[in-house]
Amino acid sequence: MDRSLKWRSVALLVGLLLCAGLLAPTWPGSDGLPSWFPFKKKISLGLDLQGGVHIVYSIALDRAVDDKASELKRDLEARFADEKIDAKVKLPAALGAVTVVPADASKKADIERQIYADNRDVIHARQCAPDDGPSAICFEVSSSYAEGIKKAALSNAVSTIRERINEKGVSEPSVVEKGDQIIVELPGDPKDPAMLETRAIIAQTSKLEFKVVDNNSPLMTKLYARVGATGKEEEPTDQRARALGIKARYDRWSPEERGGTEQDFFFEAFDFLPGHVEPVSPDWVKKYQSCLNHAETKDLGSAGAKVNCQLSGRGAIELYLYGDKKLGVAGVVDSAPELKIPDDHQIAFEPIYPDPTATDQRIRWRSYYLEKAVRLTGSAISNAQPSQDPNTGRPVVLLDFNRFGGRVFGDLTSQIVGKKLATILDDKVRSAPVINTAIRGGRATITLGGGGDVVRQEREREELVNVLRTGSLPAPLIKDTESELGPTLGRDAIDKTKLSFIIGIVLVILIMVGIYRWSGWIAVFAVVFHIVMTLAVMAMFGATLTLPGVAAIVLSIGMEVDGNILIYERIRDELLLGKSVRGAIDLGFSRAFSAILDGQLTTAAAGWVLLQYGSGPIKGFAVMLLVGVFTTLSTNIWVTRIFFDWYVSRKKGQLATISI
Amino acid sequence: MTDHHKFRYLLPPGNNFAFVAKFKIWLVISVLLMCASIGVLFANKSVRGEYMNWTIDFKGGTEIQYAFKDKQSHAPIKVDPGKVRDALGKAGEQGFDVSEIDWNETNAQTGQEEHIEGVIVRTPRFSATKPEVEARAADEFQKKFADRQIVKASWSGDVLRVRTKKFIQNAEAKPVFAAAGLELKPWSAQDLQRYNTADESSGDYTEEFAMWGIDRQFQQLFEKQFQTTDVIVYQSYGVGAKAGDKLRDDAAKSIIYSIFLIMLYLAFRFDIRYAPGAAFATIHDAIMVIGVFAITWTEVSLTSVAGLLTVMGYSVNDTVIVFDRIRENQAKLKDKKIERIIDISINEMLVRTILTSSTVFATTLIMNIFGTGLVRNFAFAMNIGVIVGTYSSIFLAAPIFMWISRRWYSGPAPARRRPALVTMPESSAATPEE
Repeated sequence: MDRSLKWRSVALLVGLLLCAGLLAPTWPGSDGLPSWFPFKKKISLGLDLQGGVHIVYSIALDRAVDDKASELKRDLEARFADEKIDAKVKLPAALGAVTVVPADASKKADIERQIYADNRDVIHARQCAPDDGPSAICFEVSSSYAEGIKKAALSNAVSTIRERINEKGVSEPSVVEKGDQIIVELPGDPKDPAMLETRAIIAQTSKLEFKVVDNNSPLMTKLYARVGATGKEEEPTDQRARALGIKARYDRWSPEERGGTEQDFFFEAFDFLPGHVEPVSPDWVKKYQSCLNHAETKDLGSAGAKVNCQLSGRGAIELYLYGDKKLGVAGVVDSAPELKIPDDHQIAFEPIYPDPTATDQRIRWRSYYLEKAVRLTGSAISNAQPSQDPNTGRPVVLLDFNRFGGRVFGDLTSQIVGKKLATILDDKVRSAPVINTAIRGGRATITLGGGGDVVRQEREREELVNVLRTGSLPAPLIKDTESELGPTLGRDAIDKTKLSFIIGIVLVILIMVGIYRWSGWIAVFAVVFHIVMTLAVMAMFGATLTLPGVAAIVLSIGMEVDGNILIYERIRDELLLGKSVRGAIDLGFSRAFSAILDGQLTTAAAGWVLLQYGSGPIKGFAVMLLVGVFTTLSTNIWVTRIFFDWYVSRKKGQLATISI
Repeated sequence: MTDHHKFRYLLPPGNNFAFVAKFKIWLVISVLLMCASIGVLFANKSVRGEYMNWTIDFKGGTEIQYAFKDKQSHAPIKVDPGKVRDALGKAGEQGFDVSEIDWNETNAQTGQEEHIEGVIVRTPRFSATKPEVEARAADEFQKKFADRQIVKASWSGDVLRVRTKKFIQNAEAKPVFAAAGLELKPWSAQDLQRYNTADESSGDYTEEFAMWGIDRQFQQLFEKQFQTTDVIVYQSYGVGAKAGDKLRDDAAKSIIYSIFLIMLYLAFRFDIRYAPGAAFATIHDAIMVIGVFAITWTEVSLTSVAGLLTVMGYSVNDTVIVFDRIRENQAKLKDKKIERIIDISINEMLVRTILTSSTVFATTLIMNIFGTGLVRNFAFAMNIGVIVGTYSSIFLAAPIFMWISRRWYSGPAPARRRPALVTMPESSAATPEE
């Protein structure tokens, strides 16, 4: 055995061991692999081969209609400000409803005509409520337009979900519409952590909004006094607030540019300790969704049912402020007319997660008093990138606004210098920094929430980047049903396919060995090696195997056998020309090389294009085709050659003939 | 020395068939067949209403979930999806998938949580009822309930979606549908609750009246097949296409671009004369496979697309390997005419061509015979693809190369005109030995 062959044999052995190592995690019953084992990724099977989970989501499409109403309000306000018209725009509780109240009743007709002229197909008139006053103009998003945006919202939701899943790297999920519902099918084990993460991301509405914090407001000052924080201890004097664990605090700062003092009063509450429950009505639970746990429905007869609810910090503040009308529990805001929250304002909450080392692991909630108008939404963002704050080292998300967004954001920040701007994601305030100077240039950063849990923040950052890049869902998704799905191809069909594969391989063996005798066996070994290597490469990338992928593997096996036939025919030709066995093998390999290489490189070129432009099954096919090019080239040129050299080197001296 | 080697020959050596002499006939036949393939698509469109037999992947359809329970004990039982598939196949259904689906459900009688192992049937059919029956039923419905101020009533599969100002009860509607020959499904308590709540903005009620349709048809089929079993329709709904317009555009775009890239590769690595032949052969094979699918009315699913891509990959590979030999022989046999060179090359490659194509054909034929559904579909595409792919390399790609050579590169020694770009280290290394 010459030296080069020795080294090649060692390399082959190392290659085989590497393949075995890569495939070890995929092997059934490999959960017990030691933690130092270098390879962790494994081949997963697609929906068609393995099945997965089948989830039906409902989508609250009415939200899209409400958003349209908010947009109308924003446009009208901007217009009134431009044209110096004194009019108030309100959003009543009814779906898609808008009310405009001009200060000067004589202008009503003019304004009304203008509004209808601008939004002819979008709105239609609506009966005014009695307390709107005689000059009010009442209209709502028209039902035909609402149908249109609902339809658009649904298809937008479907494509957003698809993109999110793709960004997560799950190959070939299935996302389809079903009436007002969306059916998502994900391949894999429903209890797998990666699957749970993907599912969390799917259902995230990720509606990003910017709203202005209204500090120095008389209302919050009054509410602060009502709770009655007494100096430093911040122990409220109000009995109810104390029972609910609510503290009133304030934040005071001096704007850098214009000086003076700004004050922001807010409430704070921790999630309740286990065991502490408040009685609330089921309606309240449904409306606020801030019960951590609730149980024991009790029927109170005429007063209705009630449940014992373990409140979150947010829920405690909400219960304190708004009360529970079904149970006749009055809220603070209803106790006096001056404490009523105006229609154009709202109270929002920020969750502050504890430092992982802290003893108290409860989430703290902080309230913000916000102007209800949405100043800018996530649709104004063109890109998002994960980054780090250069000063604090905390994870942040860098936002690039599009041209429109950059301009609006610049104008907005210049108007509110010295105030706080709240970034709200899915109805939760994420951060509310003080704006010290107008931010122009179309870029901004979001700092990820309060608290010291960096690992959590980093995970949130990845999720936020994913959802900002793929855009927000038009409305929240609610999970309806969930079932476990068998392989869509059918288990019995897969068994039959396996059988046909085995028969097919036996056929290949028969043909190759029948015609090329011993060299045929070499080709068979090369096919086995080819399959092992293909699977090992797949495992290396943690790829998903689906039926189109199997198709590509079949094609690459075909081309691999073809390569062997090319080489063998060449060797035969050379032998017939009277070459020695060694010479013929050398020439056979080198002559066949160009054909094999060109064939594989054209295949690779096609595969590369399919990978760039294709999606779904086409992509799956392309990936496996490219892997196949690599394995075909290496088995044909390298592995088969080693086998031949072994074969020749077994016999010393000149070989007279060869079994080919 | 020569007879020293006892090879098992597939063909005796020294075969010398004339392949390209009659290439014009082959070319004409192929172009006619391609036209026929495209013609079949349009014929299908006019006769059957669709260009091809699209499955649920492309045009959507109905998904029905079934559970099976024992007639006596009412305990859930598992039925082999293969039997379900057989039952549907025997009834002449086409393009359906059957897969297992498991879920938990609270038994209404016992209050116990049960694990149910059912099946989900996906069929490209939308509705069991005829459009004219549906139209009549919708008319009757609107006439009967004119006093309820119906805003809209439209069919979606077997479901009549109604928007109305005043609520219509399920029981009221039943006789109206019965008169039109349709059987209304009763509402569940949940349905009732959902439908009798008016929309906040418009005050309209959005109601759905679901008919017994394909779900019932299949249910009766299964009940006949599995005598001792109660077949329960768990849910039935219409779904949209899995492969939307984007996928279709992506696929078309990527196929066109990859053909261009292959041409570019051939132009550089071989020379420009080779590119059109390979592209034509590949397109020919794709169209032929599509044509056979259209004429046999075979189901076209996403897997068929994978099959088509595989056929194209095979075809290109086969063509390039034949071209490689032509290129080599052009350098070796400079004194011979191009027709002769091509014939010699194809003859030299004949054993390899037959061996490779028959190996792939045999393997995919086995998949076609033993496989079911999608696998069979893929194998069928491959069976046709191997035949047309092999044919097109020899009878189309090579002659087109010859024709271009003769037409634009005519001269006594076409090989001399090979651009300097083409380098063949392996053959130049081999030359001195000869």
